[in-house]
Amino acid sequence: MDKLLETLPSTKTPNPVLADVLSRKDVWRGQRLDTAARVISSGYPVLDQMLQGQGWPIAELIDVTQPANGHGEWHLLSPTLANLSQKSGYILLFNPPAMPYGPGLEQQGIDPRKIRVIKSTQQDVALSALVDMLQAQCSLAVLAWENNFHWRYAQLRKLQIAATHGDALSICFRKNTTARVQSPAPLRLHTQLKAKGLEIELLKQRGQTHQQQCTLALPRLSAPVHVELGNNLDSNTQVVGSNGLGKVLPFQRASTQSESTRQGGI
Amino acid sequence: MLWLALRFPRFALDVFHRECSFEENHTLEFSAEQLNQQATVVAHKELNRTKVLYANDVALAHKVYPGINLVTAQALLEAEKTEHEDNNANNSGPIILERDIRLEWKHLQWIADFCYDYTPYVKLHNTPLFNGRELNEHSLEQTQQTQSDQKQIHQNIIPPHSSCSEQSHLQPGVILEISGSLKLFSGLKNVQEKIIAELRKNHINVNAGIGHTQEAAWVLSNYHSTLTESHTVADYIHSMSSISTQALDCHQEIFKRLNKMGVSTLGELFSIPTAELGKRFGKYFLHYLQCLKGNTRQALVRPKEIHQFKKKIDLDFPVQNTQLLEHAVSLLIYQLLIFLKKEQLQCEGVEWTLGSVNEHKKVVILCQPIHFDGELLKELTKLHFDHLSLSFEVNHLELKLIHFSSLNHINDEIFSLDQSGLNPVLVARQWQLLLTKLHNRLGKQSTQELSLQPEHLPELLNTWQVSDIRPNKKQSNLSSGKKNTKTSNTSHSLAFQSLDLFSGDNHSTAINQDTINSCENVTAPKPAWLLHPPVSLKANNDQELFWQGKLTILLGPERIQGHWWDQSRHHNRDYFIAEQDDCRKVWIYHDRGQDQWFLHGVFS
Repeated sequence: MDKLLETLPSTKTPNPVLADVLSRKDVWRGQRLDTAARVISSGYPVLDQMLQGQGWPIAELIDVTQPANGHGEWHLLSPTLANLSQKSGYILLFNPPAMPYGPGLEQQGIDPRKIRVIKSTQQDVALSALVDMLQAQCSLAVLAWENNFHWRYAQLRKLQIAATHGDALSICFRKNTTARVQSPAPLRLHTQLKAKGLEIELLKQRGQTHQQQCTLALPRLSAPVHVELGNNLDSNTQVVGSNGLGKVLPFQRASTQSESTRQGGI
Repeated sequence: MLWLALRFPRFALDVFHRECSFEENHTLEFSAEQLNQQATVVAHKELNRTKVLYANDVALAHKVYPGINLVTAQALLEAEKTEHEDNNANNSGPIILERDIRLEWKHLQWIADFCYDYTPYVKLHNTPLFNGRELNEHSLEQTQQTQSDQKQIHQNIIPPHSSCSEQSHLQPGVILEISGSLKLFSGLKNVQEKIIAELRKNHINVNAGIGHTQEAAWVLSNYHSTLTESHTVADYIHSMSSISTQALDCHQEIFKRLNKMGVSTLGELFSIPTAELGKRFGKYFLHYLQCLKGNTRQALVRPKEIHQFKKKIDLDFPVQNTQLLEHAVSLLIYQLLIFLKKEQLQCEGVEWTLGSVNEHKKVVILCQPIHFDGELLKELTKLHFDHLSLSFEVNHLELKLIHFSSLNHINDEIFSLDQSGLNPVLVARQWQLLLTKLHNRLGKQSTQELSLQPEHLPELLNTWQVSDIRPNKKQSNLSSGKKNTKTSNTSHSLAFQSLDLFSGDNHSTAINQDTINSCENVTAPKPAWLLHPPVSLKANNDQELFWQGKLTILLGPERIQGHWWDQSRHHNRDYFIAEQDDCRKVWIYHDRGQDQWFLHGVFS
């Protein structure tokens, strides 16, 4: 027995091979996580508390499922992207559902000049291009939409490996139906707009034992405006400015409108 | 300035020697040893006669001299052969070669490239093309023209040399300006020895001359010169004084006139008053003499560079699988990189030709400027070849440089880092690399960037343009993460001015200040997604709008008008923010002209 104990590695002097294996970021050690992994704050304290490392993991694939496009992707990411857009590099949007609107992004603090949109219709070529984007050192963030593509586990695994070779916030937006399908992404979320705000369900993350959920509040707008369709509104509106090029009317001011800018949209 | 002239007295024969030394060359029917041991003659066809241009020592021993008729030379050599056959039955006959101007050019180019390692000022002198034969290749034709132009200045508009004899001034050579390289290569002696040793190692016979002008160096290269860099101009002129006038780089007619005058050495020529020479020989000869003596200061101009890279590899066996071309591709790219380094160029596009006997396929690859990054070019080539379907077997592979530019060293902002510790210049380069890959994978139209225009209508304001693969100042500014506040003329800044109409943060816009204040600095929320073209909305009988569900208007209106001066493009819209059943917010507008509702954006 004593001889057997002698052959076991001492706890004081760990096996270098084992230490080498444990130093890999993709080795999952139960609840204990590599605290040295780099993260970037989501900008929402409630969400940061849920995320391991208190923020979005950098160089890891994040899988976000939504019921449909437009369910709060910019609201979720705008504080982080606003932070990233201050750095040298580019925010790459791969097959976005529509073209981003510069003034809208600017209102959320994102420098629209840092945005690049990449489109592809062929899935096999698209995957290679996405790997290139994830690995590129100039990518600050890569946001990819699955849309009509159907990424298999192996393909997502390829993206996850590519993300680890890069230095970007790597997020893929997928359909709601994929939420219950296995994914190699270390972090999986489900987001959905509800009346009380953007509901976020944490489906999977390293070291997580149970699902977590939070809601990011959306700034309230005013009560619904009654508009008579077909009415040209001239009686309700007033032209207040003209620079010779066009005319701009003021908005009916919402009660908590001023909060919206920092919080990332309406 | 200090000039080194390298004269190749037996160049027409040396090129065959050098060609024999290449192991892979199996086209020649003789070896280098045979060229030395047997009587060898290089003949040159001139008008209707074929004359001997060069003869080796064995041929000279048989009284075959340059300039004699080839028929005569053959008769002499045959007579000698008959005598030798009696003594040695195994002795083979003389080797008679036709001068190969294309081959001479090829080796002259190699010599020029080699000399470029020592100085950027390399000038070919007395190139074979000057003697009248034309080559088809564009670059060589250009060179011929350049050489002819240079000659015209020297030779008093006397027609080009009509004879191609053994005269020393028709021997090809290279002239280098080496004053700037002396320190680097530890003195003139070392430079000279290194160059000559390398040339002789490559079977090129060479005579060298040092001079204070390129004309003087060329003249002095006729004779063994012991001058060094420490000598003065007077020393160089003195050393030329005993040299025959035949060494001058002039037409035969001038030599005849000098002989008639009884002038046989350069010393005697220099002693004649300039005015007298001008009257007899004209101003161009006078100019040449002034250049020779160094009285006329010549600007140090780099020779007109002709950049052409086109290399071909014949494959050992036919190939249809492009993966088997990898080695040939690597070899050609390596040669291209050497060319780029020597010419100080950067490659922006290449053309691959995969050819068989009857068919060929061309593949054009455009890329961001490459100077030493061969891996990128390899990767791009692999990308293209992987998607290539070949209907024939490839026998040869050719690489041609089609787009290039002068090397642009990135040496600005090399030490500047942004707040995240990244170097903006390197980030910009990384982006160019990525963009090149994306363009080659997905096409040129695949990548777009925002270009905000000074417009009010959202779809005109928010325009997307294809990202350019070539780096420009605008991109490098953007990549640095700094907003360029000084360039108020740019479309970006103009566009943001128009945005300021809504933001209320910056009141320095064209709009009336009082008017902005009266707006209570209201910020109109704008969507993150813009739909283009706008989606037409329909209303039901209860006057309710629908788009993927019922829409409830929450906020508005914001009136945006544009192009009021142009009725055909005039738009008058009232924008509202509406909410769907699933809580998504959308941006809709009522077109007052058409009296229709449209969905224009989605908040997210």
